[in-house]
Amino acid sequence: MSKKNKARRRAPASPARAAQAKASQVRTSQPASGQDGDISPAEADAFVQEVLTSLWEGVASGDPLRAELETATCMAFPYVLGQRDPADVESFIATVLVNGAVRRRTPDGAALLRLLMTLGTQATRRAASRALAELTGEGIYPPEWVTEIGKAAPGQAWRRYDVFGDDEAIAVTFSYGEAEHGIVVQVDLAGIPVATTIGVSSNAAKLIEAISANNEEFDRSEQISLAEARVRMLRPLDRAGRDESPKLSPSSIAYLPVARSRVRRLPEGDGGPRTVYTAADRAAAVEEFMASPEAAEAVAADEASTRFWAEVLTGYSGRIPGEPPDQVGPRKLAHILLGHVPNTVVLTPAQRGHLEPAVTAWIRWSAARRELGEAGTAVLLEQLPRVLSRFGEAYDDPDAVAIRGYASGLATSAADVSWLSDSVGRRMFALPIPEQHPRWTWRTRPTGTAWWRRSSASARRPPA
Amino acid sequence: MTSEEFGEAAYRVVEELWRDEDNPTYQAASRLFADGLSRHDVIHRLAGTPAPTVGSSVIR
Repeated sequence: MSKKNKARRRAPASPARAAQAKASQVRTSQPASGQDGDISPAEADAFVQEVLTSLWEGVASGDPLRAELETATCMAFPYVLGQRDPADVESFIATVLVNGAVRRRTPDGAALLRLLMTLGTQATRRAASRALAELTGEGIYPPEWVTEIGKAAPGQAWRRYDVFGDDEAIAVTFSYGEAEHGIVVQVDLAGIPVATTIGVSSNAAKLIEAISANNEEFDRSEQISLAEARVRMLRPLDRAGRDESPKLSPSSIAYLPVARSRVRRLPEGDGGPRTVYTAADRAAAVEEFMASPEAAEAVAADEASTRFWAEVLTGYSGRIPGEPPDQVGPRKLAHILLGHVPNTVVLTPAQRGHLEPAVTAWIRWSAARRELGEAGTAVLLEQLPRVLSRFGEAYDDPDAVAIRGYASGLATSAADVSWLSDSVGRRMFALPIPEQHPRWTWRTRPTGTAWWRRSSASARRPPA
Repeated sequence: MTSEEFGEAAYRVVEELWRDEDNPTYQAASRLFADGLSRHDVIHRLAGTPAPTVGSSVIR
């Protein structure tokens, strides 16, 4: 399939996505115009001129943060136009930015190359490094302040999270000399953790004030170590902006290289051990549920099916080592019942018929165990009928039926989700679903394995 | 290698990739894939015939 014929992606449309909106409570400066990536050619031309003008002004300003942001904004330009193929993005950066910087044959051009070496991918760094060597070989050197770029000193880190475990936002302050700034990264924890919103603020104090405020019923905040902040942001930022990940706003994609650069400045290893939950922990949680008062009625009606669903729900937590087996939120519930289960598990009529009582019992047990209180429990129980009303359609979807074939013989209710994901990805590589498959959707894709990414470029997001 | 022999070899490679991750074929495919080879080229390589530069392989 040609790149031009790739299906355009739409914004996530799951109702459960609504909970994510709270992520953006922190106001950030706006590096680029546009919101949805669809702009006209005339707007694009004007945008290019504006961005390039701002870039050179930023580089000439001698302000490291401003120069970084302007450079990152330029690097995001292909993405704003809807281009997500990494090779094309690299090509744009090499052609427009690296070559453009060399052509100027000025210290500012050399400064831009140094910026690209800090913010770019490995390929960009190599290209910029070679180009900078060419300029310095001619006696053209970047200005002195450029040596500070990317060497911002970390300050403090905070985490804001919802009590259900669906989302978290991590904010970290940094300083260039006396001047403080901060980054904030919203992470979607419902599937494989991925950064969904990224911001940079020149007002670090206000950023921390916003993220640590206790003004939402189901949100909590805590100060965390810089090392823990690194752990929580590193992989989600790696996954952000990739072809199969949720689409980022233009401002988030522009901030992404700066955030990645800052995370590399955070220390490793002094964050203390995070709890790791094993298959044994998940099995113990299932036993605890089965013996609980919340499960009594469902167990009495159909013990085997109740156990089956308990294993599915606890097993899903296995995709993240630090996720407690009893954790579920409104969005994660939708991920499990409308994505994970239809894509991987072949249900018997008894299991399908016992879905509602078993999951209702499990949610009540989970909420009680986590002390979510009446209001928190109500949020989960209100979500359940919405998800269940769509379960039949999701499970019987021809795409889901096809994908379940890839998990044939592998998927048991207690199967390790990460292993299952890798195995399905491997089988899809061995035998891809034909590209002409008419209704290949984001919802029905398995998960983001490397095999999957490379063998399914036509994955799309679900319809609204 | 005749086209029939290649077809059989490619079929065998796909079958081994499908079966499990603990076989030499999968390990080799992983290495080739990590090196940037496409699925088409990986299977050609493992089946014993370098991929043609232009073609319309049924296993692409």
